[in-house]
Amino acid sequence: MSAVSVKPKLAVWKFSSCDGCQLTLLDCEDELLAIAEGVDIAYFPEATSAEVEGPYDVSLVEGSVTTAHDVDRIHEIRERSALLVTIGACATSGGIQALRNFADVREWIPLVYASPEFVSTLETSTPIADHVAVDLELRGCPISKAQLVETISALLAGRRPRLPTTSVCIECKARGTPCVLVAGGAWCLGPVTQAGCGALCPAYGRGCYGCFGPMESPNMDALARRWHELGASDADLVRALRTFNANAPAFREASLDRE
Amino acid sequence: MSEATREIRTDYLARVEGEGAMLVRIRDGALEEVQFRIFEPPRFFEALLRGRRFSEAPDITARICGICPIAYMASSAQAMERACGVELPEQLRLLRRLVYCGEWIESHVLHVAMLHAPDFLGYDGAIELARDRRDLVELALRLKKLGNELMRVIGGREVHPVNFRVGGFYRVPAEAELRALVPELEWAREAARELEEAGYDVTVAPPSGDASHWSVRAEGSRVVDETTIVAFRAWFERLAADHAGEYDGWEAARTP
Repeated sequence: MSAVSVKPKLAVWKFSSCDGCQLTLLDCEDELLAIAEGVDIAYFPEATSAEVEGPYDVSLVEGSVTTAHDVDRIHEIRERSALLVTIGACATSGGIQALRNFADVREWIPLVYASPEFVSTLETSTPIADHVAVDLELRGCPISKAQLVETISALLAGRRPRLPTTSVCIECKARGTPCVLVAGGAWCLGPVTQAGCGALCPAYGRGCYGCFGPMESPNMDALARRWHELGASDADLVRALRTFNANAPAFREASLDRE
Repeated sequence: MSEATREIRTDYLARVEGEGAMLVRIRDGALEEVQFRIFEPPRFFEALLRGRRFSEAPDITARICGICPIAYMASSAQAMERACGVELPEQLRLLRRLVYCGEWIESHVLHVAMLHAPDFLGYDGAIELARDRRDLVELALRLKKLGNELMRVIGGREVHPVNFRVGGFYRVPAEAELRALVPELEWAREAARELEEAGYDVTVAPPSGDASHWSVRAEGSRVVDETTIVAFRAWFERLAADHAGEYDGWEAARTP
């Protein structure tokens, strides 16, 4: 083995998104300079104009695919990346812009843009994994800072990051928040949503709105029964499922079933 | 292309929010063409808000931008409140202003120190700047963190806070949570003042007469001694050399 240690090359890519997930990396105020010592930030236009050629050891990909050009671009990025990690609801499920998948986007263009001829867009917003193989995904709208730091540290140490796959309910119990769905009567998506945020919304006295997307095998029917007991209609549940992870398969199917 | 034609092409503007490219063409000293292209894909927020409940507007519009979500949450909440004829009590209005101040601090420090300062100081980015001036970058990060702390304490998290609703908040912070921020706010006020005093007023003038160089004049007030004079000179000379320019010394007006 060579005695010279070469720092792994990290690249950060943006597709259709709000920039909030890549900002989470710059929001690691206490860790940022240490991370920059551990990795070579080779491509991250939000933070630096320096550009180091690939291939890259780790690519963090934010955003969903909504243009023909981006379909080509994600394939090129995949080819140049040893590990590809998608960050956030847009990249992992299509984001809020995937609401177009339930409508006709051609009808939307002239509603929003005065000169529709300048607008080029696909009819769907799709997650990165619909186009290329993804090695790891970080959920959330936005992602959790703790999960991002854990993931980068784990990849540097050559181990798998510890990311929960349980529901938000477990995190509510862990932080001692009384159940807002059972005891509080709030419309809460926590029982079907993947943990990772730290059960933030219930701690603020509101129901979880599902920004980490569906957990593994969610029991949608049981959730719907409880929501109905609390006076919610199917339309209310459909709206709740159609936000930032509307296109995630479990949420999409449950909302289409109740439409 | 004739010798008198210059083209400045940037295919991807770095350190800005969103995505854009720019092309500038100059012929015989006159601007011939400017193209600014935004290839940030459209997301159609106005259209996807149709058919939603009024109460959903703040959380949905927040996703327009992860760097300034409060701007969208506050304006959409205010729009809904005005439509409903609701006026916020003074305390809630102030709390909203406070969380907005948190966003201003976070977003402005991000822009000034991490997105723009590298251009003015000749670095690729803040991380590269930190190799020479770690103190400056650490100061900026600490200020930025304070803005984020305000967002987190009042809003629940830094990006897309969860505590904002039409009519106020889901939960008001405990007094102790806000008081805990006071020492850092006091430090930040002092730090911001010092940072401002360290700045220069910069004037840039195009070549005039026979001169072929642009002139850049930096004005500032300093208390000087033998060491600082040497340090200022070295800093300006390095800055000029980095940009293929020359430093022509300085003029000082002495105030007693």
